[in-house]
Formats: sequence, structure tokens, C-alpha cells
Amino acid sequence: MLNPSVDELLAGMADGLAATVLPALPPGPARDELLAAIALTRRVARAVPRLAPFLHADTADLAATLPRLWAALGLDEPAAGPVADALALARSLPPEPPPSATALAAADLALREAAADLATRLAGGAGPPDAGAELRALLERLAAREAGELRLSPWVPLR
Amino acid sequence: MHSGLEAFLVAAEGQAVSVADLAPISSVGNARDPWGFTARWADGREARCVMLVKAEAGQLETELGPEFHTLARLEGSGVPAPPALWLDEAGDAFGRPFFVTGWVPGTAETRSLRQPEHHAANRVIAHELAAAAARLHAVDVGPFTHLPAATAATAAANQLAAWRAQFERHRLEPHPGLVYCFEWLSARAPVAARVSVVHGDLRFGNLLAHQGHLTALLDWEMVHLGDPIEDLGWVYRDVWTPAAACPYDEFLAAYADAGGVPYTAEHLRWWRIFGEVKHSVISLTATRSFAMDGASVRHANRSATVPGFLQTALGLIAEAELDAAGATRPGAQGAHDPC
Repeated sequence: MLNPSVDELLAGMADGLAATVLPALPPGPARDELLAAIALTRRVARAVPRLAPFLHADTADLAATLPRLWAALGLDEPAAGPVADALALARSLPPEPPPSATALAAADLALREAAADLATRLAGGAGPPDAGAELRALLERLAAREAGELRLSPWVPLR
Repeated sequence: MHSGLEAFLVAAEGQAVSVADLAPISSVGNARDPWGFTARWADGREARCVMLVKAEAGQLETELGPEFHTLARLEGSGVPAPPALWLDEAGDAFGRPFFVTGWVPGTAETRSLRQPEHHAANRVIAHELAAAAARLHAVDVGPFTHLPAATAATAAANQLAAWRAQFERHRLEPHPGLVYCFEWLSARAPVAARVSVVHGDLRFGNLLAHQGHLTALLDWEMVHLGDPIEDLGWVYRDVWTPAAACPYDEFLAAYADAGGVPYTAEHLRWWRIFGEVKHSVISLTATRSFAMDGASVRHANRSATVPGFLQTALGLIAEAELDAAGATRPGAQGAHDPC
């Protein structure tokens, strides 16, 4: 599931805790802990959609600047180890920052809308059988990715 | 709440009635907030009661009247259900609608489903649940005029249309998998063998058991007139199945032995797929109530249950498609009747 987004879920949780749990707690360590948790949750909610562009910009900036500083100090660039690996990764990044999670989600939802339109056309049996099977396979992959990779679900089948 | 409830009971009974021991009852339900209390009449009578208060926002859009009037009409039917006592549908007494039933002994907890030491007891209860379902489905629907009418030909299509409307109202994104399921089901809606009272949420967790026996079916908020096989497609879903104690086939055989309505494997499978879709819509409704209406944090991530339900539904559809392809091959066998 993409909606509510991760940042919306976090912000909503913070609002819910502030509206319902907080008023029930008397002054003391438990209330202080909850206040801190609410503040932290709100901060993380704001950060989530900005994380990917931030990491791209920050890494690219470091990878471009540090070699100039090493050279200015007469030092060699590390040839192996974590810093060398990080530089290699940073230099392999595309020149433009990747889209934000919000922009990617919007694109994904637009494509899912198109898939829903195809589902409307194909589920009733219209079109060639292969197309129906291919759509069903796509829908199974989407569901599997959400259930297995997104891992937002607490749901566990009862066996 | 206490004084409002007491004043309501006095007005309803026409004599002094006091309320004692009013306290919330622990529950995992979302549509009703249950409270227990003792009513004491001026003439010395006393009764332990359960008050079910309509939740302010949640995963279901249901009114109290159909549930209350169903319980009232089931009295004397042989279907184990709490006796209906009073209804305040407008919420005049203390600001929220509620109804009151008599207290029935038992617990609705489901932890025991995972505990082998309780399998023998749960097997007995599963058989009693099958018999209760058969009894419910045999009840004459004539007196149930408070529920929307249904016909055998349109019962499935009507339920599907109602849940699709709710899906389209509450989804926060396209959900192509669910759209596909709705379309697939719509193209293959079965005709019911008869129109029955359908519980709509028949399962472990929505029944009371006491001393190893079923004492009451609870949570009638999704009751309606329709195809009785709908309840059979819902009762063994993965999230609440008692299969470890009583296999599905054994439950279905017990239902048939108790005089349950006959069906084909294809018919039952349609309702099993419907069950996955319906629960997905319930989850999406809960999520929307959190995202848009500020409902409880408990609802926050309910949409994340949908991929699992959808995987089950798509698996059943794939199975149906294989059966259909097999049935069209010369010499291939069609769906069998598990009854």
C-alpha cells in the first residue's frame, strides 16, 4: 500500500497519540517519554519523503569536495576500504538527484490507475486469454511486493 | 453515560430502574464499544446486561437497528444469540446510539486457536458453529422485514455491488488488484439456492464459548438477507481459521449434516474470493477513517493487510481459471459438489 504514505502514517500516529493517550497521562516520566516519542515521530514523518534526495545531494557533494581537500593537503585518495567504496558508489550516481519518494509514489499510483483500467477491461473475459493471464501475474507480483518487500503489514496468517 | 442510561431505562420500563457496575468490556471489535452493567428494577428483579455503543469512526458503516431487530426476531429460533432488550438508535440518552442485550456467559478470545491443548474443545465448538449456521440459514426470512429484501438471483450481485460502492468511496489509491477481483466476481456471480439470514461476520472471535460449548453468536452488524453460502466462505479465512482444531472439510460436512444449504465447490469458492475482497474493503475503510477522520491509531496501518488478502483472492481466482480451462477440455471433470 502506498496510501496512506509512510510519512502520513507517522504523522497520523503522532496526532492520535497526542489527542488520545497524552491527555490520559499524569505528569511524570511516562508522559515525558510519550511527549518525546510524539515529537520524534513528527520529525521522522517530515524527514521520510526528503531522505532519498538528501542522501543523493549530500553524497555527491562529499564525493566532489573531499578529493579537492585531500589534494590541497597533499594526501592520496583512499584506494581501498569503506571510503573508496563510497566514492565509487557516489561517482556511479546519475547526475540528477533521484526523484523524491513522493514523486515516485505519484508515478507509481498513475501506473496503477492504468492497471486498474486494464483490470476493468480484462477481468470479465474480454481480450485474449494471454493478456488476462499476464495482467493477473502482474497483480500477483504487485501484491507479493507489497506483502513481502514493503513489509508494512503486521498481518500474519493463522495456521 | 451512567445517568443517561439510567434515565433511558426508567423511561423504557415505566418504573424505577437503577444501573450498577457499569464498566467497559475488553474487546478487539471496532464497530461497537461494549459495556457491562447490572439493571435493578424497583420490583426487585435484576439482570446482567451488555450495552453495545456505536463506535464514532471505524471500519464499518453500519446502523444499530438492523442488528438489534435481528436479535429480537431470532429469539426462540434455536439460533444461539444474545436476547435483545433496548435500543436507542438516535443516541438521545447520552449522545451516542446504543442497544442493550442480555448477558450470555462465555469468552470470545481466539488465542486458543493456536494452542494445541485447546484443539479438542475448539473442534466441538466448530461443530456447534456449523450447526448454528445451518439453523440460522434455515430460519424463515419472512419476519425480517427490517432488512433489505434479496432474491436468490440477485443476492450475490447485490452484496458485491454494495461492497464495491464502499470500496470506491473509501480507497485512497487505485488498487488494480481489487478492481480486477470485483470485475472477475461480477462476471461470475452465482445464484443462491435460497435466501437466508446471513450473519455476515460468522467466525471464531465473534462467538461466545463457555465450558467448551458455543453459547452465542455475536457481532451481527453485517447481518443481511442473502446467499447463505456467504457465511461458509467467510468462516475459515486464514486470519481466524480454526482449521488446526477442525479441518474445513469437516466443518462443511458438519454443516451439511445439520441440514445446511447445499452448494457446489465453485459456488463456495466464489464466496471465499468475495470474503477476501470484502475484508480488504473493510481494511481500506478503517485506514481512511484514520487518514481522513482522525480515528484511532489502531486503524492506522489496516490497509497493509490488503496485500495478503489479495494474494489469497488471486490464488483462488487462478485455481478457478485452471478448473474452468480443465472443464472445457474433452474428458475433463468439472467442479464437484463437496456436499
